[in-house]
Amino acid sequence: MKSAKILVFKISGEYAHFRKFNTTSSPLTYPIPTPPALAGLLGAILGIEREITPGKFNEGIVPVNEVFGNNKASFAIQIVKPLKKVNIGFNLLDTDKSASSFFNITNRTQIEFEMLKDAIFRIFLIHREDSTFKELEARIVDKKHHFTPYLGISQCTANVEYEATINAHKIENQAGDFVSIISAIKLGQLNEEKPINFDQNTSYATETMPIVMTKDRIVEEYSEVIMEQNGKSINANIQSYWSIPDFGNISFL
Amino acid sequence: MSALQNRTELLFLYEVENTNPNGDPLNENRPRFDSEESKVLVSDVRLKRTIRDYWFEYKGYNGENGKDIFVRETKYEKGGLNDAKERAKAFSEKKEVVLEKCIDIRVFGGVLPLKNDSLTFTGPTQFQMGKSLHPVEVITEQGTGAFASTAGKGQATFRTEYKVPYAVIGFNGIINEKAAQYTLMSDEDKKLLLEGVWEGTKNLISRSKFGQSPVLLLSITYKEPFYIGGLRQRLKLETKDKNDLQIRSLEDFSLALDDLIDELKTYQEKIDTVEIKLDKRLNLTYKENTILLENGKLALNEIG
Repeated sequence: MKSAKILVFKISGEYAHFRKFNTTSSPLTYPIPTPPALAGLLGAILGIEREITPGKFNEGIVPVNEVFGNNKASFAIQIVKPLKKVNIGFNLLDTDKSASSFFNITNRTQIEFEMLKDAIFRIFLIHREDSTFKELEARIVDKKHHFTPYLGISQCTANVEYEATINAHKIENQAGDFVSIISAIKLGQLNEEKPINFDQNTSYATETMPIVMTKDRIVEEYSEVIMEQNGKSINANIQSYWSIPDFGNISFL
Repeated sequence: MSALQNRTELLFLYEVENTNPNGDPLNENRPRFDSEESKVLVSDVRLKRTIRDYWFEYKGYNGENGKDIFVRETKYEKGGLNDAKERAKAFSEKKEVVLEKCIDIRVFGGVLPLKNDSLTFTGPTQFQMGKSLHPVEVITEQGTGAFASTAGKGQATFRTEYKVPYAVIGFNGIINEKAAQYTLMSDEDKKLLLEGVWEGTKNLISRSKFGQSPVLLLSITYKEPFYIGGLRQRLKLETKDKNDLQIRSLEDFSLALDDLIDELKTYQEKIDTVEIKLDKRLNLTYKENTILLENGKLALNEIG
């Protein structure tokens, strides 16, 4: 049986926007933060600098995508409050004509953004580097954030609230029982035959979202993820899961 | 000038009377509105524009004496061609020059491709979307325009306007000292930011914004990298005889600061100073007692 130390914290904000990769000019949002977005948020808390231009980093900077790479970190995401989406129109600068459009604005482009409203997520994090785990834990406990963390875009500054650090075990579900899972689940982790015991009163959604992204912003893994939009648990026939005392069963993306 | 060293958190409240605080371009310029809570919204961009306008008009950031605003509206272009050429030159210069001249890039950040360089700065100062503290309604008004739709017609056109009769709108802001090291935002810039928030809101005398007035500005300077977060959400607006939709002035309600003050007291050790600026007409309460606060430094221990 595998075990690990798991950091549990909540992130919340009045608005959030986690841009879908395929909707650049009519921006839609994922219902939950993707693992690369969470890596960015935690990178801000740790004070890891972003790239200067895509793929180019200052000397001595380990990019967030490597600090929270697939081999080092795992995220599980729970929807705490029923998801709400609203559309908000933003006036963007029209910059495609010439460079001078930046400092002499004549044209604007109106774009409607899909935003999450009053979003609250609980994040479960495993980080296999003890020093990074400890530093992150200390910073979240003390709210000692290096840069300002935000939910997707900069005007959506985030509240980050420490909840617990818990030793938990991974459980193999060899019997193929239905297990109540509180987090979002990769469809690939479900058993193929009768994967979910659907409940008529719940509202399921699936999204294809980036799971692993390199420092050059190339997505190495997309997965189909299923979640329950009101924050209820999913009765899933899952291959393996983690049991977190006081919280419930989760599955890492 | 050295970059500022302390983290600062801001709470800014202003009232609007019979105005359109922030038109929604995709909705016939109706006030931005959250229909779920019936509250008006104001984008962070609107507030930043207010501040930029103030710096440009009143603080000499108009391209002369090495003081400038980078993200400019066309209406700022007073010098015509010559001015535009100057700015094009500034644009192709190095980012160090842009940072030195342009206060808005230092304070709000920016993303720009320069000629031999690129400029990507996360702004040290971030404002969330502003929101009214209470439900409001949007009213529709018909007015006559000054001009006819086509030349020669005898009658001027009609126009439709959307306004809110009254609202108190709140903004949360954070200034991150770590990001300030990159854009070189200084303590002097912070002073100008606070001045711009207050005076800029007062001086925004356009047809649709006349009737805006700053009400409260709280700025918390922390000793260490920490901030409370969600200050506006800790305020409680309590009406007296009227319901929320009937509020028409600061006399119609009081603000309960219980949650805010308690939180400030909890984290007092992390706080260097709390400064407050307020409109004397605003009624404030703490634990159901009216409190009178003076402009300037707030002595937390003396409250309650």
